[in-house]
Formats: sequence, C-alpha cells, structure tokens
Amino acid sequence: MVEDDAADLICISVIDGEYFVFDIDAVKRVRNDHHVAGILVGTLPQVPQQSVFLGLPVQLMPEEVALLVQQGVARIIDEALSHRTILAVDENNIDEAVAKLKINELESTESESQGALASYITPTVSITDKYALPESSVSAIYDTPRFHVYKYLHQKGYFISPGLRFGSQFLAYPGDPLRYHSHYLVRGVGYEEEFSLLELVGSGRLGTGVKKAWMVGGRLPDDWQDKSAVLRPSQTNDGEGSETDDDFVSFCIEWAGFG
Amino acid sequence: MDDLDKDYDNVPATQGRGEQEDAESDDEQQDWRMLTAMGSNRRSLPKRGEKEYEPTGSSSDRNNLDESRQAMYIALNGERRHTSKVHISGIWYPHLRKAKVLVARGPHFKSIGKADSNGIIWLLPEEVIYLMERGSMSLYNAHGDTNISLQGCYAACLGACHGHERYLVYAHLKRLGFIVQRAASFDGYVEEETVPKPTSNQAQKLWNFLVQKFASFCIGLRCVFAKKIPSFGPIVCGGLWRSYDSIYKALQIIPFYSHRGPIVTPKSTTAPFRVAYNIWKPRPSFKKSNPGEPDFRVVVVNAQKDKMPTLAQADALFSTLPTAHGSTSTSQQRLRDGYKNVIIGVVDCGIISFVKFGDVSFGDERIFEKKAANSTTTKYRPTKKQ
Repeated sequence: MVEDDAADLICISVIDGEYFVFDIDAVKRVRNDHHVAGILVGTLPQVPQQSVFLGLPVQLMPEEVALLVQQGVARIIDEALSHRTILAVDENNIDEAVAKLKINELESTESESQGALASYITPTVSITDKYALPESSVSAIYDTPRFHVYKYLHQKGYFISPGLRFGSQFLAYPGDPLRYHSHYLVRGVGYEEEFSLLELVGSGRLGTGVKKAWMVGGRLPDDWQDKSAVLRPSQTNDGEGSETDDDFVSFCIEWAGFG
Repeated sequence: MDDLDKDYDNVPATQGRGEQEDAESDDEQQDWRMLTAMGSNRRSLPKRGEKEYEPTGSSSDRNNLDESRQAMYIALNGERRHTSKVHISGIWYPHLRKAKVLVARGPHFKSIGKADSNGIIWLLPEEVIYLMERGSMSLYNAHGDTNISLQGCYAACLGACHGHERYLVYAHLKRLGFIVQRAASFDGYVEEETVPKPTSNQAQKLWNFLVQKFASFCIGLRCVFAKKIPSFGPIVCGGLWRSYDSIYKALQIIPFYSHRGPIVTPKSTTAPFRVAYNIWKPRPSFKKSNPGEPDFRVVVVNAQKDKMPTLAQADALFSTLPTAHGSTSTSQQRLRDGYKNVIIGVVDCGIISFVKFGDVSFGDERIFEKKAANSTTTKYRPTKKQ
C-alpha cells in the first residue's frame, strides 16, 4: 500500500494500539515543523542505567497523531503488518540449523569489517514496505473534548504533553518543553458537560501551587443557536479569528491567594 | 512567591530554582547539553539544567533552543552497539512469544532469561525489547536472514508484553537497577497467589480452625458480658475509673475494619488490579531459581483506560498480598506502610507515576495505650449531672 505521493508524509508507527516515531528525521520534523514533542520512551544506549534522559522511540498521544493526520502531514503505518514478511514463520517447518548458519554468516561479515574487536549494531529503523492505515483509523477522536482542546491550544502555538504529573488531561507549554516550563494544566470538556466543583478547586489550587493555571475549555456545538452571545467578537463574523479559534470557549483559573 | 525572586539572584545557575524546579524536576524534560557535558564520566547522573519562563523571541532564546535540540538529536541518533565480549543474540519465535538465545555473554543473565530442561535460555518479550533498546543484543527472525531493527523488535514483541504500559514500567525499573520478574498473576488470576503460606498439615489445620472458632466465641461472650452502652447520655459515666486507658476502651463503640480477624483466603482479582511484577532490590547474590520474597510488588494500570479500583477490586488485590511486616514491626511502620501494601504504576502515554497503596487499620493501633503508660494515672470522677 505504498503510494509515491505519500513518500513525503511523516511516518507514525502504530504497534499494539500505541503510536511511536522511530526515525530520527521524522522526530525532528514533527518537533521543529509542527511543534509536537511527544515523549521519549526508549532506553538511551549511551547511558542505559538512568531514566532522566531517554531515547527513541518517541511516543505520541492519539490526539497528536490525529491532528497530524488531519492536517495531511503524516500517515499511520501498521508495523505488525509491515513486518509480517520478516517475522513470518511456519510453525511446523522450522529449520533452526539453517537459520543458525545464516546468522553466523551475517555476524561474521560484520566482524570482518570491524577488524579485531568485533561489534554488533542494532539498527533503529527497518527497511520494509509500509502498510499505511487510512485516516478513518483515528478520525473517531476528532469529535472528543480532549481533541478539541488539544487542537485549540496547538493552533495557538503551544506544545502539549500528557498531564499525568498534575492529574490533568494535558500540560501546555508556551514553547519547546526542552527550554520552557508548562503554563497550564489543561482540561477539555463538552460545552454542556458538568464537571465537579471539587475538581475546579483541586486542580486550581494544585496548579497555582506549582506556578501554573488550570485551563478548562470546550467547543460550542455546531448547532448552537446564538454563538455570538458566547464567543468573543474576534471569534465571530470576520474571517480572521474564526479559523483558528474554531468556536472554542476557555477559562483559566488561578488562586488569588488572599490570606 | 517573594522568596523565589530572591533565589534567582543568589543561587548559582546549576542549582534548582526552588519551588518551580521541585514541582517539575522529577520527570520534566531536561537540558540535553547536560548529558553532553557529562562526556565520558558515566558514574554520576546528568545534572539538571535551567529553563526559561516563556519565549521572548530574542536570538539568544533561539540559540539556546537550537543548541538544546541539537544536543538531543545527536544523542538520539546514537548507535546501539555492543562488542563480541558481551554479545547476546537470539531468534524471535512469534508463535511462542519468546526468543531463543543463541549466544549469552555478559552480566544480564543473572536476572534475565529462563533456561529450559535442555539448558537453552529463553527470553520474554519485555526482556528482548529491553536488551535491544540498550544495544546489548542482536535479534534475528526465524529464517535467520534478517537482523531485526528496534522498530521490528517492537512490532514483534510489544503485543506479547501484555500492554505497552507494562513494558514501560518494566524497562524503567530495570534501568534503575532493580531485578524485575513477572508475577504469577501476570497473565491472569492464579489460584494460589503469594499469600501467607497455608499450612498443609492436617492437624495444624484442625487446630487453626478450633482456635478461630474459640476466638469468635470469646468475642461473642465479651459482647454479652460487657457493660451495656447507654442509648442516650454520656458513654462514660458514673463509677470509679482508675485509668485513662479504661476510659478510652469504653469509648470504642464504633466498629472498625481490623486485621486481627481470621486469615483471608485470596479472592479472585480483576484486571488490571493484580500484581504484574515482583521487584527485588539489586543484590549480587540474587538467584533466578530461588529469588526469595520480593521487596516490592507492582500493579500496572493505564491512566486513559482504567479507573481507580473499586473497594471490591482493591480488596481482592490485597487478599493476594502477604503481610508487609513481621511481628517485630513498630506501630509507626504499620501506620506508614500498612499491614499490606502494593505499588501501582500509572502510565499515561509514556509517562509513569508510582503510587503506593497501603492497607492500614488505624483502629488496631492503640495510640492511647502508649500515652496512658507514659502519663501518671489519676482518678477520674465525672461531675454529677445537674
């Protein structure tokens, strides 16, 4: 399922329902060009016995993948299917002796080229035909509150990461997380979805305690009667603001700290 | 907040920035230039860098960012390479969901891998991915014609790890030096999970049964003969009370959950609230064949898919755990760690947070008894009612 015009799309691997980027060039494009940082989840081979600096692959949230696919800059590759030729085995017909011979050959050519001190390299990325999935594999999340708030913040230029550290859905950074601290704990809700006051208090106080604000936001349903009553003037009428703001309403909460 | 401003002026650049740094320093992205600065000194952990508040658009901002990114990309592009001296190689068999080890050099096999009756070592999928990621292993397909890449290894093995979240927790703990093994309940509920060892001796069983019956009988008797709790007015009234202890005991009228009941039989656990991994602190004397009691037990849950355990789920999980402390534990230890405890690793799209759940029976810790022993006993005469 390789199309030539798809060759320039960023490849995002889906394995066991999770999204990864293995190729370093794809990682650079996704971060530099589309301000999607993702989370590094692999062991760094240079310094393997620590978890401060991790290596490839980068893991992406479903919302990040959905946005990149929606914008037409990336495609999703099913790696299990892409690797099926390499990994195929006929259970009843395993010739281990032959396999071992071939492996010895592979390894000895490696050590020949290395000279005296043989070393073995594991490549990071495979060279296979790519089995791409259609957009419909992620389009189901386009209409979720999480995706609405993610897209809204992304369009405003924020970097967004998972919010587990502070019990929120996302964290929003004004710039690359490498250089800047996050500013918001983010919670997306349906426009008429109820959320508890306890959550507002808990998240608001927690956020303020760690120098962030709690941001809650939702998208006006398409069939909302009087949008201009809700949206800011810049969000309606003129063509300027409406594209980016996308009928989104949000509030930020910080504790005032009196007393 | 004012204190923080002071810190900016006086504290040298390499130290943290007080509150903000502490709040985020645990697992926020760090500056990769610190890693490069480490150079060949692999003994110490990389230092933590400084961050800015927000982009100012200045060129120095831009330069800092570009340098940081470059340092990171260069590090990420590092090779996964190992020498023949510590070479490990194996073949992945998809239908067995394991790798057969061909060459097994190096120190990893003290805690990784399992030998079968023919002496062949087999690796579990999480062990394979871990060794491949750190560049310690070469993996081949069943035909022997492809050196599988890290990407191919994930494609082959991740599905057999019982969830990416479990692999993440495994790899994280391995990196920190712990010994990690799958628990018996890794794949599902197991009839005989690790519990206080049940006695197999028939006579012992009969004796335990009789003791339990007698204990319940005594508790029942005590209820009958105990002072009746008045249905209105003060609980403690009238009479001569010789110690605070006896007063406090009389005040204990609210039933509470106690561990002093009969031994609990393990209940059937539900996914994901069952122990996934047993963890041992690193020690050179560790033997795979006889590891001994684990130092920790870890349950792994997915932040997006799973919810907090219901009381029933938590109860079932705890019924499969052994007691945390022996009879020599102090009250403080029991209150802090719980009668039983377990660690739950919550995973959210690549980020892990560990939480310790403890089963603490506050009512069993008679704080008042210790205090009463310390203070002088006084006679207490309640004031007569007007």
